[in-house]
Amino acid sequence: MSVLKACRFLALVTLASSGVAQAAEYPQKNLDYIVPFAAGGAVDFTGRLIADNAPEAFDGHKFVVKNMPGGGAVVGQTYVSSAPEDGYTLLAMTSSIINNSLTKSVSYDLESFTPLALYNLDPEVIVTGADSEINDLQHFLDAASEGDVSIATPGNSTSHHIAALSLAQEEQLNFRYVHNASAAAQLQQLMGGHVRAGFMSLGEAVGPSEDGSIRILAVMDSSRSDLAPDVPTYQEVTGDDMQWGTFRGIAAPAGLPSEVEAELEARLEQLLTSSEFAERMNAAGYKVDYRDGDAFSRYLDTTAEKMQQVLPLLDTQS
Amino acid sequence: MDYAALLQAGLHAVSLWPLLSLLAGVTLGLVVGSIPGLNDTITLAVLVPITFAMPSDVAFPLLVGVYCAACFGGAFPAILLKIPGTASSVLTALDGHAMVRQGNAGRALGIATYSSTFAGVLSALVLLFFAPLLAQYALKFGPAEYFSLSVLGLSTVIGMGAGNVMKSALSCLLGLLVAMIGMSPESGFPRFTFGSFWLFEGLPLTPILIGLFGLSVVFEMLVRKPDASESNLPGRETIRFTDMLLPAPLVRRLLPTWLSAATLGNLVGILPGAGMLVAIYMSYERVRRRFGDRCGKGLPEGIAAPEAANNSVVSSSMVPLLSLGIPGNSTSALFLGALLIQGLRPGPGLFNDSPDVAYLIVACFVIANLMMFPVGLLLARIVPNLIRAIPQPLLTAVIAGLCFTGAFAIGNSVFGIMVALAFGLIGFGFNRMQVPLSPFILALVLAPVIERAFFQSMSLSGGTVSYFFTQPLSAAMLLFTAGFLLWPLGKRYVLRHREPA
Repeated sequence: MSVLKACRFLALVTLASSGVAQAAEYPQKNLDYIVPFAAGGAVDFTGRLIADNAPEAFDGHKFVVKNMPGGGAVVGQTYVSSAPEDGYTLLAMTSSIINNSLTKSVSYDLESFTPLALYNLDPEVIVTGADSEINDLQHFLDAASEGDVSIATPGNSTSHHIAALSLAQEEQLNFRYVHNASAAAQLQQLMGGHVRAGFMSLGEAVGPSEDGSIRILAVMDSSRSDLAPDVPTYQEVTGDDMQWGTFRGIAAPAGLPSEVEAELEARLEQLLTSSEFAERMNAAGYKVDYRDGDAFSRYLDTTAEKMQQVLPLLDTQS
Repeated sequence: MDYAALLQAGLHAVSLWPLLSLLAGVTLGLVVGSIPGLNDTITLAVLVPITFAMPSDVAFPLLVGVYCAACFGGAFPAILLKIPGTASSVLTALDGHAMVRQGNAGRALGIATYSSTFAGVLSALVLLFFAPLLAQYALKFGPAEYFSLSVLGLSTVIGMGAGNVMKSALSCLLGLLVAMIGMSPESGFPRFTFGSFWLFEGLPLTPILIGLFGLSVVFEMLVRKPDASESNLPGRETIRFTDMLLPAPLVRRLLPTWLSAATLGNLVGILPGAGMLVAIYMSYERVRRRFGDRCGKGLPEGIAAPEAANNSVVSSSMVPLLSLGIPGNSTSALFLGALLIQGLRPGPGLFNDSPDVAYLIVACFVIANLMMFPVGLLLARIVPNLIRAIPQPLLTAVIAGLCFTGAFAIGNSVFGIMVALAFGLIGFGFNRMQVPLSPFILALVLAPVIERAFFQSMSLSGGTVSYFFTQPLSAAMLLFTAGFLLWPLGKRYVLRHREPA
């Protein structure tokens, strides 16, 4: 490779990492936005959309997206939990933070973070391949109670695996789990008819279902979604309340100075509720569902409680 | 097929702005591809959100250009310095660098450029005409088929060690062992992590590659005396354009290799996950079977096969995305994002709903591959002379700096540098003992696929191993594997019994 290009690259790296001196008013410099996953996923993608809109709400300061994958998001989460409490390090916070703090020996828990905003909720759906003989939820439940349903998941102990475990326990079902390494592989198995059903996020299922390559049986939410108005909720069919889903939000380390926290919350609200951001999210197939820091905190606590009931299942039934 | 829309899109693609952004994409792709640690995925991740503000006829040419050229860019450092810029050029380094040592740097780069362009254009045409057909075939691959395909891919390592089966097997087994680090895909149980969350997802692949191929060369340069004749650098002669243009007899000779590599790339490469490396290794294995010991010593086919295979995989990995809406790898997942941002949804309806953009993308694949030819030759003329202009101590330092930067950038952590350093020493040791590195890489990549597919098959079949043989496609691939493995034994047996006569 050429020296010229090497130099250009190194210059870019130095430019990106040079910070501006601290001052009293917030924000005075660019913020680090830590995505605890590799580039390319939904969290990374929506994070980069946020970063792209950030300068408007942060007086021209940028969000620098940094991917810190590893340890099932533990690497990035640990980094933010021990980052300086100055409001210049943000975490893309997802459901994994709850599993990780409950199941792995990590140095942080929910108390180590300041939840600032939630921007996207994605309810869980049960799907089958389009050619499957399973054509509604009742049929699915009947077949599963006979232990005859193979379930594709995007990975062991993902929130989708846990949703299936939880449903199986509640309704005395017996699934045969087929764990994949990605949502794409899961979709391929459903469309190829290699498995009979799968658990995924509504956002991932809407597109293929409109193409007629998969069928959504039910959505695990309190009401039907605008994205798929024909799909019944789990409760409509069975009468049992069953809600599950993944969330995407933004947090900072715990112990922020209160004026910085207020400043951050207000500016993030401005960013996340702007019509421009909503338009770009919608274009990419995501719905913006904004909640402020307090509401996000409450949501985290309820989800943690639900998780805690289900997690023992992971060890015995995986 | 809508030929009017196709023609329109083709003409659109060669108008000013699309063509300029395609050129920018190809150049950018060549640069990031040639720097170890930087790759197409990270570049597209940065570019995709920016494309929202661009019209689609600027956005897609740019992205397609980067994607196509990054794979080819990896061949430059692989050939010139024996440091593959991307995982897909690991095998290119073997014969490519051997040819450079013989003073034929221009010829080696020429073969890489011709092969990449030929196979890239061919596969782009396949993408254009047969995408729906290939996509349906890809869906037929279930867990049993993935298992057997990966085992088949793994069996190609037998011949990698220049005939030394023991060393190849050793390298392969070590790769399998390293792949065991991390969470079990079936039970989620952490293996060999020693309680450290850094190891929970296994060791990161890119820093391993940087260490094995990049830093090991740096160590080699450090221990070697500066005036030694054994240099990693291209020779003293200046490379002229005429060196890079291949004579007609050579093109005729390489044509069958290109065709078979491109076919493998199109059939195997469209399978998400394992496809790319398996296609590359299998096409190299075909060459090795034909030329035996001449492989790895500067054989033109040894460059042509992997370079043709990897560029055909680039186009074919778009097949499942464009016709089914399933991204075949992390890079095409970013394409999915780019399409969504523009308000398009890939899937069976894409070519009907928005033929203008759909055909534009495919046309860009064709043109990007064509464009790689002049841009590639131009770079092949400049880069080696630039490398030569740098004194060796400085070059060593620059390579080391790039390796460390790349290893750090992939996860923004020092852990990546530690992994790269450790594997740099391992790679150095491998090279000293003449243990081939390529079986190690293949085993490392395929082990998780094999393990996952095995457990998936067991879950689906209720634990019966005969499942792999009752699925016809899977059974056929396992038979091939057995043939591959027994072939050398059989050949030796025949030869021994013929000799006395």
